[in-house]
Amino acid sequence: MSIRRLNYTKRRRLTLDDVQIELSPLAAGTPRRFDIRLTLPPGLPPDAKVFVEAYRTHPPARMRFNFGTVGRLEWPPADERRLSEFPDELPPLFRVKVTDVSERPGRLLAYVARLRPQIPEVQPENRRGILHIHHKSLDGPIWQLDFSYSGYEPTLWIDSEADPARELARDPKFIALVFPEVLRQTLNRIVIDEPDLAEDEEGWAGAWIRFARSVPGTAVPEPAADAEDEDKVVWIDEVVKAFARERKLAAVFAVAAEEDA
Amino acid sequence: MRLLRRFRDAGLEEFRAYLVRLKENRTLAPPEFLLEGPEFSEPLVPSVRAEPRSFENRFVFAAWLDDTFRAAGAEAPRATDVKFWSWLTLFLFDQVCPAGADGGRKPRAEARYIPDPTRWNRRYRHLLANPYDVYRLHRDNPARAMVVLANPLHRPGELTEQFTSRLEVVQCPGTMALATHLYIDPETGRPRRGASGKKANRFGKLMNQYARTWDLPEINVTDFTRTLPRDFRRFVQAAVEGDQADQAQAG
Repeated sequence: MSIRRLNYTKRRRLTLDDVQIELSPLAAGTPRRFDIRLTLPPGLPPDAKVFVEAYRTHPPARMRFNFGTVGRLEWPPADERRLSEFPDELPPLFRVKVTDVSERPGRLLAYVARLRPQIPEVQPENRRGILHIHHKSLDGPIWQLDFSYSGYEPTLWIDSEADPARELARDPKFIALVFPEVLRQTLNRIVIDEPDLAEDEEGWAGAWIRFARSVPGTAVPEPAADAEDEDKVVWIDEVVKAFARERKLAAVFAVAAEEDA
Repeated sequence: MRLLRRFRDAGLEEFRAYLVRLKENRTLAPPEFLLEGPEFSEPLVPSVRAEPRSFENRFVFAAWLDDTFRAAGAEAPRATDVKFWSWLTLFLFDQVCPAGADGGRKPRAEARYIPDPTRWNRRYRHLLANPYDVYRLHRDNPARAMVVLANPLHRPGELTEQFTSRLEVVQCPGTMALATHLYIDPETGRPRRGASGKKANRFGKLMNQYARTWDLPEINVTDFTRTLPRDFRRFVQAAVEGDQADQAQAG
Protein backbone atom coordinates (compact mmCIF):
# COMPACT_ATOMS: atom_id res chain seq x y z
CA MET A 1 0.00 0.00 0.00
CA SER A 2 1.45 3.35 -0.91
CA ILE A 3 1.82 5.94 1.85
CA ARG A 4 0.11 9.27 1.30
CA ARG A 5 2.57 12.07 1.94
CA LEU A 6 1.33 15.40 3.25
CA ASN A 7 3.38 18.48 2.48
CA TYR A 8 2.60 20.75 5.42
CA THR A 9 5.65 22.92 4.74
CA LYS A 10 4.49 23.88 1.21
CA ARG A 11 8.07 23.26 0.18
CA ARG A 12 8.51 22.68 -3.54
CA ARG A 13 10.36 19.59 -4.57
CA LEU A 14 12.77 20.16 -7.43
CA THR A 15 13.14 17.29 -9.89
CA LEU A 16 15.82 15.86 -12.13
CA ASP A 17 14.23 17.86 -14.94
CA ASP A 18 14.86 21.06 -12.98
CA VAL A 19 18.48 20.36 -12.03
CA GLN A 20 21.21 18.66 -14.02
CA ILE A 21 24.80 18.64 -12.86
CA GLU A 22 27.88 17.63 -14.80
CA LEU A 23 31.45 17.28 -13.58
CA SER A 24 34.51 18.18 -15.59
CA PRO A 25 36.87 15.31 -16.46
CA LEU A 26 39.27 14.24 -13.74
CA ALA A 27 42.75 15.62 -14.38
CA ALA A 28 45.78 14.76 -12.29
CA GLY A 29 46.38 17.32 -9.58
CA THR A 30 43.27 19.38 -10.32
CA PRO A 31 39.95 18.84 -8.59
CA ARG A 32 36.90 18.55 -10.80
CA ARG A 33 34.67 21.56 -11.54
CA PHE A 34 30.89 21.29 -11.75
CA ASP A 35 28.44 22.85 -14.13
CA ILE A 36 24.75 23.03 -13.39
CA ARG A 37 21.64 23.57 -15.44
CA LEU A 38 19.01 24.98 -13.15
CA THR A 39 15.39 25.69 -14.00
CA LEU A 40 13.42 26.90 -11.00
CA PRO A 41 9.64 26.44 -10.86
CA PRO A 42 7.45 29.55 -11.14
CA GLY A 43 5.97 31.18 -8.05
CA LEU A 44 9.09 31.38 -5.89
CA PRO A 45 9.84 34.85 -4.40
CA PRO A 46 12.43 36.69 -6.51
CA ASP A 47 14.51 37.57 -3.44
CA ALA A 48 14.79 33.97 -2.21
CA LYS A 49 18.40 32.74 -2.05
CA VAL A 50 19.66 29.79 -4.09
CA PHE A 51 22.40 27.51 -2.79
CA VAL A 52 24.05 24.43 -4.26
CA GLU A 53 25.86 22.03 -1.91
CA ALA A 54 28.24 19.22 -2.81
CA TYR A 55 28.59 16.58 -0.13
CA ARG A 56 29.46 13.05 0.74
CA THR A 57 29.25 11.07 3.92
CA HIS A 58 32.54 9.19 3.79
CA PRO A 59 35.17 10.42 3.81
CA PRO A 60 33.02 13.33 4.96
CA ALA A 61 33.21 16.50 2.90
CA ARG A 62 30.89 19.37 2.10
CA MET A 63 31.06 22.54 -0.01
CA ARG A 64 28.40 25.21 -0.37
CA PHE A 65 28.00 27.58 -3.32
CA ASN A 66 25.91 30.75 -3.47
CA PHE A 67 23.99 31.03 -6.73
CA GLY A 68 22.36 34.40 -6.04
CA THR A 69 18.61 34.76 -5.89
CA VAL A 70 15.61 33.33 -7.73
CA GLY A 71 15.15 36.66 -9.52
CA ARG A 72 18.83 36.99 -10.31
CA LEU A 73 20.68 33.69 -10.55
CA GLU A 74 24.44 34.22 -10.52
CA TRP A 75 26.76 31.34 -11.30
CA PRO A 76 30.02 31.56 -9.34
CA PRO A 77 33.01 31.86 -11.68
CA ALA A 78 34.22 28.53 -13.07
CA ASP A 79 37.30 28.44 -10.85
CA GLU A 80 35.16 28.92 -7.75
CA ARG A 81 33.08 25.90 -8.79
CA ARG A 82 36.11 23.63 -8.35
CA LEU A 83 35.34 20.82 -5.91
CA SER A 84 38.54 21.29 -3.92
CA GLU A 85 37.25 19.22 -0.99
CA PHE A 86 36.72 16.29 -3.37
CA PRO A 87 40.15 15.92 -4.98
CA ASP A 88 39.94 12.16 -5.53
CA GLU A 89 37.85 10.12 -7.91
CA LEU A 90 34.92 9.78 -5.54
CA PRO A 91 32.24 12.08 -6.95
CA PRO A 92 30.05 13.95 -4.45
CA LEU A 93 26.27 14.11 -4.30
CA PHE A 94 24.54 17.47 -4.65
CA ARG A 95 21.70 19.39 -2.99
CA VAL A 96 19.93 22.48 -4.27
CA LYS A 97 18.15 24.75 -1.77
CA VAL A 98 15.96 27.80 -2.29
CA THR A 99 15.57 29.65 1.01
CA ASP A 100 13.25 32.40 2.22
CA VAL A 101 14.81 35.73 3.21
CA SER A 102 11.77 37.84 4.00
CA GLU A 103 8.73 36.12 5.52
CA ARG A 104 10.54 33.42 7.57
CA PRO A 105 14.25 33.77 6.88
CA GLY A 106 16.03 30.48 6.43
CA ARG A 107 12.91 28.45 5.62
CA LEU A 108 13.31 26.07 2.70
CA LEU A 109 11.04 27.00 -0.19
CA ALA A 110 12.32 24.44 -2.69
CA TYR A 111 14.72 21.56 -2.25
CA VAL A 112 16.25 18.51 -3.83
CA ALA A 113 19.03 16.25 -2.47
CA ARG A 114 21.02 13.14 -3.37
CA LEU A 115 21.54 14.37 -6.92
CA ARG A 116 24.15 12.34 -8.75
CA PRO A 117 26.18 14.35 -11.25
CA GLN A 118 27.01 13.17 -14.72
CA ILE A 119 30.64 12.11 -14.90
CA PRO A 120 32.43 12.22 -18.26
CA GLU A 121 34.40 9.01 -17.65
CA VAL A 122 31.27 7.03 -16.80
CA GLN A 123 29.71 5.39 -19.83
CA PRO A 124 26.18 6.67 -20.56
CA GLU A 125 24.71 3.17 -20.18
CA ASN A 126 26.00 3.07 -16.58
CA ARG A 127 24.53 6.37 -15.49
CA ARG A 128 21.07 5.08 -14.58
CA GLY A 129 21.96 1.50 -13.70
CA ILE A 130 21.85 -0.15 -10.30
CA LEU A 131 25.62 -0.81 -10.23
CA HIS A 132 27.94 2.19 -10.05
CA ILE A 133 31.29 1.60 -11.70
CA HIS A 134 34.26 3.81 -10.83
CA HIS A 135 38.04 3.64 -10.88
CA LYS A 136 40.70 4.25 -8.25
CA SER A 137 43.91 2.67 -7.05
CA LEU A 138 43.02 -0.52 -5.18
CA ASP A 139 46.55 -1.26 -4.02
CA GLY A 140 46.55 -4.82 -5.36
CA PRO A 141 43.13 -6.20 -6.31
CA ILE A 142 41.71 -5.64 -9.81
CA TRP A 143 38.19 -5.02 -8.55
CA GLN A 144 36.34 -4.52 -5.30
CA LEU A 145 32.69 -4.12 -4.37
CA ASP A 146 31.96 -1.30 -1.94
CA PHE A 147 28.73 -0.58 -0.04
CA SER A 148 30.09 2.30 2.00
CA TYR A 149 29.79 5.01 -0.60
CA SER A 150 26.50 6.74 0.19
CA GLY A 151 24.42 7.57 -2.86
CA TYR A 152 26.45 5.19 -5.00
CA GLU A 153 25.68 1.80 -3.43
CA PRO A 154 26.95 -0.60 -4.52
CA THR A 155 30.07 0.68 -6.26
CA LEU A 156 32.23 -1.64 -8.32
CA TRP A 157 35.70 -0.17 -8.02
CA ILE A 158 38.16 -1.11 -10.76
CA ASP A 159 41.86 -0.56 -10.25
CA SER A 160 43.07 2.45 -12.26
CA GLU A 161 46.41 0.83 -13.05
CA ALA A 162 44.82 -2.40 -14.29
CA ASP A 163 42.37 -0.54 -16.51
CA PRO A 164 43.91 2.75 -17.66
CA ALA A 165 41.63 2.85 -20.73
CA ARG A 166 38.55 2.32 -18.53
CA GLU A 167 37.18 -0.35 -20.82
CA LEU A 168 37.31 -3.34 -18.50
CA ALA A 169 33.70 -3.13 -17.35
CA ARG A 170 32.64 -3.70 -20.97
CA ASP A 171 35.01 -6.60 -21.54
CA PRO A 172 32.88 -9.77 -21.99
CA LYS A 173 35.38 -11.88 -20.05
CA PHE A 174 35.42 -9.46 -17.12
CA ILE A 175 31.61 -9.34 -17.16
CA ALA A 176 31.37 -13.12 -17.23
CA LEU A 177 33.83 -13.56 -14.37
CA VAL A 178 32.95 -10.65 -12.13
CA PHE A 179 29.29 -9.70 -12.48
CA PRO A 180 27.83 -12.95 -11.03
CA GLU A 181 30.03 -12.44 -7.97
CA VAL A 182 28.90 -8.81 -7.75
CA LEU A 183 25.30 -10.07 -7.75
CA ARG A 184 26.10 -12.67 -5.08
CA GLN A 185 27.87 -10.22 -2.75
CA THR A 186 25.15 -7.63 -3.16
CA LEU A 187 22.32 -10.06 -2.40
CA ASN A 188 24.29 -11.42 0.56
CA ARG A 189 24.54 -7.91 1.89
CA ILE A 190 20.85 -7.14 1.44
CA VAL A 191 19.26 -10.49 2.28
CA ILE A 192 21.57 -11.82 5.02
CA ASP A 193 23.87 -9.13 6.46
CA GLU A 194 21.54 -6.14 6.57
CA PRO A 195 17.95 -7.27 5.83
CA ASP A 196 16.55 -3.91 6.97
CA LEU A 197 17.99 -2.39 3.80
CA ALA A 198 15.44 -4.14 1.58
CA GLU A 199 12.54 -2.54 3.48
CA ASP A 200 13.19 0.72 1.63
CA GLU A 201 11.67 -0.24 -1.70
CA GLU A 202 12.68 3.08 -3.23
CA GLY A 203 16.32 2.68 -2.17
CA TRP A 204 19.19 0.91 -3.89
CA ALA A 205 18.58 -2.37 -2.07
CA GLY A 206 14.95 -2.44 -3.21
CA ALA A 207 16.11 -2.02 -6.81
CA TRP A 208 18.49 -4.98 -6.47
CA ILE A 209 15.81 -7.19 -4.93
CA ARG A 210 13.45 -6.33 -7.79
CA PHE A 211 16.22 -7.18 -10.22
CA ALA A 212 16.88 -10.54 -8.49
CA ARG A 213 13.16 -11.40 -8.61
CA SER A 214 13.06 -10.58 -12.31
CA VAL A 215 15.78 -13.06 -13.25
CA PRO A 216 13.97 -15.91 -15.05
CA GLY A 217 14.61 -19.54 -14.25
CA THR A 218 15.43 -19.30 -10.53
CA ALA A 219 14.88 -22.86 -9.29
CA VAL A 220 13.83 -22.13 -5.69
CA PRO A 221 11.30 -19.63 -4.29
CA GLU A 222 12.46 -16.50 -2.51
CA PRO A 223 12.74 -17.19 1.23
CA ALA A 224 10.80 -15.14 3.78
CA ALA A 225 12.63 -12.33 5.59
CA ASP A 226 12.81 -14.43 8.78
CA ALA A 227 13.99 -17.61 7.02
CA GLU A 228 17.22 -19.38 8.05
CA ASP A 229 20.42 -17.99 6.53
CA GLU A 230 21.07 -21.39 4.88
CA ASP A 231 17.82 -21.05 2.89
CA LYS A 232 18.75 -17.51 1.89
CA VAL A 233 22.17 -18.69 0.68
CA VAL A 234 20.50 -21.36 -1.46
CA TRP A 235 18.18 -18.80 -3.05
CA ILE A 236 21.02 -16.35 -3.74
CA ASP A 237 23.04 -19.16 -5.29
CA GLU A 238 20.12 -20.06 -7.55
CA VAL A 239 19.58 -16.43 -8.60
CA VAL A 240 23.26 -16.11 -9.52
CA LYS A 241 23.16 -19.31 -11.56
CA ALA A 242 19.96 -18.24 -13.30
CA PHE A 243 21.51 -14.84 -14.06
CA ALA A 244 24.59 -16.46 -15.60
CA ARG A 245 22.48 -18.93 -17.60
CA GLU A 246 20.13 -16.27 -18.91
CA ARG A 247 23.05 -14.18 -20.16
CA LYS A 248 24.88 -17.25 -21.45
CA LEU A 249 28.01 -16.11 -19.64
CA ALA A 250 29.89 -19.37 -20.09
CA ALA A 251 29.49 -19.14 -23.89
CA VAL A 252 30.24 -15.43 -23.88
CA PHE A 253 33.45 -16.11 -21.98
CA ALA A 254 34.49 -18.97 -24.28
CA VAL A 255 33.96 -16.92 -27.44
CA ALA A 256 35.87 -13.93 -26.02
CA ALA A 257 38.73 -16.18 -24.89
CA GLU A 258 38.90 -17.77 -28.33
CA GLU A 259 39.01 -14.35 -30.00
CA ASP A 260 41.84 -13.31 -27.68
CA ALA A 261 43.82 -16.47 -28.38
CA MET B 1 61.30 15.43 14.18
CA ARG B 2 59.99 12.09 12.95
CA LEU B 3 59.08 11.18 9.40
CA LEU B 4 55.41 10.21 9.16
CA ARG B 5 54.78 6.91 7.39
CA ARG B 6 52.07 4.45 6.47
CA PHE B 7 51.95 0.72 7.06
CA ARG B 8 52.61 -1.82 4.39
CA ASP B 9 50.37 -4.93 4.39
CA ALA B 10 52.72 -6.78 6.75
CA GLY B 11 52.83 -3.87 9.21
CA LEU B 12 49.05 -3.55 9.27
CA GLU B 13 48.56 -7.24 9.93
CA GLU B 14 51.20 -7.24 12.70
CA PHE B 15 49.50 -4.27 14.35
CA ARG B 16 46.10 -6.00 14.06
CA ALA B 17 47.57 -9.12 15.68
CA TYR B 18 49.06 -6.99 18.48
CA LEU B 19 45.63 -5.53 19.27
CA VAL B 20 44.23 -9.06 19.60
CA ARG B 21 47.09 -10.16 21.88
CA LEU B 22 46.77 -6.98 23.95
CA LYS B 23 43.29 -8.02 25.03
CA GLU B 24 44.79 -11.14 26.58
CA ASN B 25 47.93 -9.52 27.97
CA ARG B 26 47.20 -5.92 28.85
CA THR B 27 50.81 -5.05 29.63
CA LEU B 28 52.12 -6.14 26.25
CA ALA B 29 54.39 -3.40 24.90
CA PRO B 30 53.36 -1.73 21.61
CA PRO B 31 55.33 -3.11 18.61
CA GLU B 32 57.21 0.11 17.90
CA PHE B 33 59.56 -1.66 15.51
CA LEU B 34 56.65 -1.62 13.01
CA LEU B 35 56.86 2.16 12.80
CA GLU B 36 60.23 2.29 11.07
CA GLY B 37 61.02 -1.12 9.58
CA PRO B 38 60.98 -0.83 5.78
CA GLU B 39 59.24 -4.18 5.46
CA PHE B 40 56.44 -2.92 7.70
CA SER B 41 55.99 0.72 6.67
CA GLU B 42 56.93 3.27 4.04
CA PRO B 43 57.36 7.07 4.17
CA LEU B 44 54.60 9.33 2.89
CA VAL B 45 55.06 11.12 -0.40
CA PRO B 46 55.66 14.05 -0.18
CA SER B 47 57.63 13.71 3.06
CA VAL B 48 55.94 14.99 6.19
CA ARG B 49 57.85 15.43 9.45
CA ALA B 50 56.30 15.91 12.86
CA GLU B 51 57.30 16.25 16.46
CA PRO B 52 55.26 13.87 18.58
CA ARG B 53 53.68 15.60 21.56
CA SER B 54 50.96 15.23 24.11
CA PHE B 55 47.48 16.36 23.09
CA GLU B 56 45.10 17.87 25.58
CA ASN B 57 42.05 16.90 23.56
CA ARG B 58 40.80 15.88 20.10
CA PHE B 59 40.76 19.49 18.91
CA VAL B 60 44.44 20.07 19.69
CA PHE B 61 45.39 16.83 17.95
CA ALA B 62 43.39 17.67 14.80
CA ALA B 63 44.84 21.18 14.64
CA TRP B 64 48.37 19.78 15.06
CA LEU B 65 47.88 17.26 12.26
CA ASP B 66 46.35 19.85 9.94
CA ASP B 67 49.20 22.29 10.63
CA THR B 68 51.81 19.55 10.19
CA PHE B 69 50.59 18.55 6.75
CA ARG B 70 49.98 22.11 5.60
CA ALA B 71 53.52 23.03 6.59
CA ALA B 72 54.66 20.26 4.26
CA GLY B 73 52.43 21.57 1.47
CA ALA B 74 50.18 18.52 1.67
CA GLU B 75 46.76 17.42 2.93
CA ALA B 76 46.47 14.66 5.50
CA PRO B 77 45.18 11.41 3.97
CA ARG B 78 41.46 10.79 4.33
CA ALA B 79 40.03 8.14 6.61
CA THR B 80 39.88 5.65 3.75
CA ASP B 81 43.70 5.42 3.93
CA VAL B 82 43.61 2.61 6.48
CA LYS B 83 47.37 2.05 6.43
CA PHE B 84 48.22 5.67 7.26
CA TRP B 85 45.72 6.06 10.11
CA SER B 86 46.66 2.70 11.62
CA TRP B 87 50.35 3.67 11.53
CA LEU B 88 49.56 7.01 13.17
CA THR B 89 47.60 5.15 15.85
CA LEU B 90 50.64 3.09 16.75
CA PHE B 91 52.78 6.25 16.58
CA LEU B 92 50.51 7.87 19.21
CA PHE B 93 49.49 4.66 20.97
CA ASP B 94 50.14 5.93 24.50
CA GLN B 95 47.51 8.60 23.89
CA VAL B 96 44.82 6.53 22.15
CA CYS B 97 45.21 3.54 24.48
CA PRO B 98 47.04 4.82 27.56
CA ALA B 99 48.41 2.51 30.22
CA GLY B 100 46.74 2.74 33.61
CA ALA B 101 48.42 3.01 37.00
CA ASP B 102 49.00 -0.76 36.95
CA GLY B 103 50.73 -0.52 33.57
CA GLY B 104 47.86 -2.28 31.82
CA ARG B 105 45.97 -0.93 28.79
CA LYS B 106 42.27 -1.39 28.05
CA PRO B 107 41.94 -1.86 24.30
CA ARG B 108 38.42 -1.36 22.91
CA ALA B 109 36.94 -2.35 19.55
CA GLU B 110 39.43 -2.67 16.69
CA ALA B 111 37.68 0.05 14.64
CA ARG B 112 38.97 2.60 17.16
CA TYR B 113 42.55 1.82 16.17
CA ILE B 114 42.27 0.51 12.61
CA PRO B 115 39.69 2.36 10.48
CA ASP B 116 36.87 0.27 9.05
CA PRO B 117 35.61 2.39 6.16
CA THR B 118 33.36 -0.36 4.81
CA ARG B 119 30.81 -0.29 7.65
CA TRP B 120 28.70 2.84 8.13
CA ASN B 121 28.31 2.18 11.85
CA ARG B 122 32.05 1.79 12.45
CA ARG B 123 33.74 4.17 10.08
CA TYR B 124 33.39 7.22 12.33
CA ARG B 125 34.85 5.41 15.34
CA HIS B 126 38.57 5.73 14.63
CA LEU B 127 40.10 7.73 17.48
CA LEU B 128 42.35 9.84 15.24
CA ALA B 129 40.70 9.91 11.80
CA ASN B 130 37.37 11.03 13.23
CA PRO B 131 38.52 14.21 15.01
CA TYR B 132 40.57 15.14 11.95
CA ASP B 133 37.58 14.56 9.64
CA VAL B 134 35.42 16.82 11.81
CA TYR B 135 38.13 19.49 12.09
CA ARG B 136 38.60 19.48 8.34
CA LEU B 137 34.84 19.78 7.70
CA HIS B 138 34.80 22.92 9.84
CA ARG B 139 38.23 24.24 8.95
CA ASP B 140 36.87 27.76 8.38
CA ASN B 141 35.93 27.85 12.09
CA PRO B 142 36.83 24.57 13.83
CA ALA B 143 35.83 25.87 17.28
CA ARG B 144 32.19 25.51 16.24
CA ALA B 145 32.69 21.73 16.31
CA MET B 146 34.14 21.73 19.83
CA VAL B 147 31.15 19.71 21.02
CA VAL B 148 32.77 16.63 19.47
CA LEU B 149 36.41 17.70 19.87
CA ALA B 150 36.60 18.66 23.55
CA ASN B 151 37.43 15.23 24.98
CA PRO B 152 40.78 13.41 25.18
CA LEU B 153 41.78 11.20 22.26
CA HIS B 154 41.23 7.93 24.11
CA ARG B 155 37.83 8.91 25.51
CA PRO B 156 35.71 10.61 22.82
CA GLY B 157 32.61 10.56 25.03
CA GLU B 158 28.90 10.15 24.54
CA LEU B 159 28.31 13.50 22.84
CA THR B 160 30.90 12.62 20.22
CA GLU B 161 29.39 9.19 19.63
CA GLN B 162 25.90 10.59 19.15
CA PHE B 163 26.85 13.53 16.95
CA THR B 164 29.50 11.93 14.76
CA SER B 165 27.23 8.98 14.01
CA ARG B 166 24.77 11.48 12.47
CA LEU B 167 26.67 12.61 9.42
CA GLU B 168 24.06 15.15 8.35
CA VAL B 169 24.42 16.82 11.73
CA VAL B 170 28.19 16.73 12.01
CA GLN B 171 28.65 18.10 8.49
CA CYS B 172 26.37 21.10 9.00
CA PRO B 173 28.01 24.31 10.31
CA GLY B 174 24.74 25.55 11.81
CA THR B 175 23.87 22.44 13.79
CA MET B 176 27.41 22.01 15.10
CA ALA B 177 27.58 25.65 16.17
CA LEU B 178 24.23 25.23 17.91
CA ALA B 179 25.30 22.00 19.63
CA THR B 180 28.54 23.57 20.85
CA HIS B 181 26.62 26.64 22.05
CA LEU B 182 24.23 24.43 24.02
CA TYR B 183 26.50 21.71 25.37
CA ILE B 184 29.99 23.19 25.82
CA ASP B 185 30.86 25.62 28.60
CA PRO B 186 33.02 28.28 26.86
CA GLU B 187 34.85 29.06 30.10
CA THR B 188 36.11 25.53 30.70
CA GLY B 189 35.93 24.15 27.16
CA ARG B 190 34.28 21.07 28.68
CA PRO B 191 30.78 19.65 28.22
CA ARG B 192 28.17 21.19 30.52
CA ARG B 193 26.83 19.16 33.39
CA GLY B 194 24.02 16.88 32.21
CA ALA B 195 25.08 16.98 28.55
CA SER B 196 24.59 13.28 28.00
CA GLY B 197 24.39 10.98 25.03
CA LYS B 198 20.62 10.80 25.53
CA LYS B 199 20.32 14.58 25.20
CA ALA B 200 22.56 14.53 22.14
CA ASN B 201 20.44 11.79 20.59
CA ARG B 202 17.31 13.90 21.07
CA PHE B 203 19.11 16.93 19.60
CA GLY B 204 20.22 14.90 16.56
CA LYS B 205 16.70 13.65 15.85
CA LEU B 206 15.32 17.15 16.20
CA MET B 207 17.91 18.58 13.80
CA ASN B 208 17.05 15.89 11.24
CA GLN B 209 13.43 17.08 11.45
CA TYR B 210 14.38 20.76 11.24
CA ALA B 211 16.59 20.09 8.19
CA ARG B 212 13.41 19.29 6.25
CA THR B 213 12.11 22.78 6.87
CA TRP B 214 15.11 25.03 7.45
CA ASP B 215 18.39 25.77 5.73
CA LEU B 216 20.45 24.93 8.80
CA PRO B 217 24.01 25.75 7.64
CA GLU B 218 23.42 29.49 8.05
CA ILE B 219 21.14 29.68 11.06
CA ASN B 220 21.68 32.38 13.66
CA VAL B 221 22.46 30.24 16.68
CA THR B 222 21.13 32.68 19.28
CA ASP B 223 17.87 33.23 17.41
CA PHE B 224 17.46 29.55 16.70
CA THR B 225 17.64 28.52 20.35
CA ARG B 226 14.27 30.25 20.79
CA THR B 227 12.66 27.67 18.51
CA LEU B 228 13.89 24.69 20.53
CA PRO B 229 11.38 22.68 22.57
CA ARG B 230 11.03 22.97 26.35
CA ASP B 231 13.32 20.05 27.15
CA PHE B 232 16.28 22.11 25.86
CA ARG B 233 15.45 25.05 28.14
CA ARG B 234 18.10 24.23 30.75
CA PHE B 235 20.89 24.20 28.16
CA VAL B 236 19.55 27.30 26.41
CA GLN B 237 19.58 29.16 29.71
CA ALA B 238 23.08 27.93 30.52
CA ALA B 239 24.27 29.03 27.08
CA VAL B 240 22.77 32.49 27.50
CA GLU B 241 23.43 33.14 31.17
CA GLY B 242 26.36 30.84 31.91
CA ASP B 243 26.63 27.66 33.89
CA GLN B 244 26.43 29.42 37.24
CA ALA B 245 22.82 30.41 36.59
CA ASP B 246 22.13 26.86 35.49
CA GLN B 247 23.68 25.43 38.65
CA ALA B 248 21.88 27.92 40.90
CA GLN B 249 18.58 26.86 39.33
CA ALA B 250 19.43 23.19 39.70
CA GLY B 251 20.41 23.76 43.33
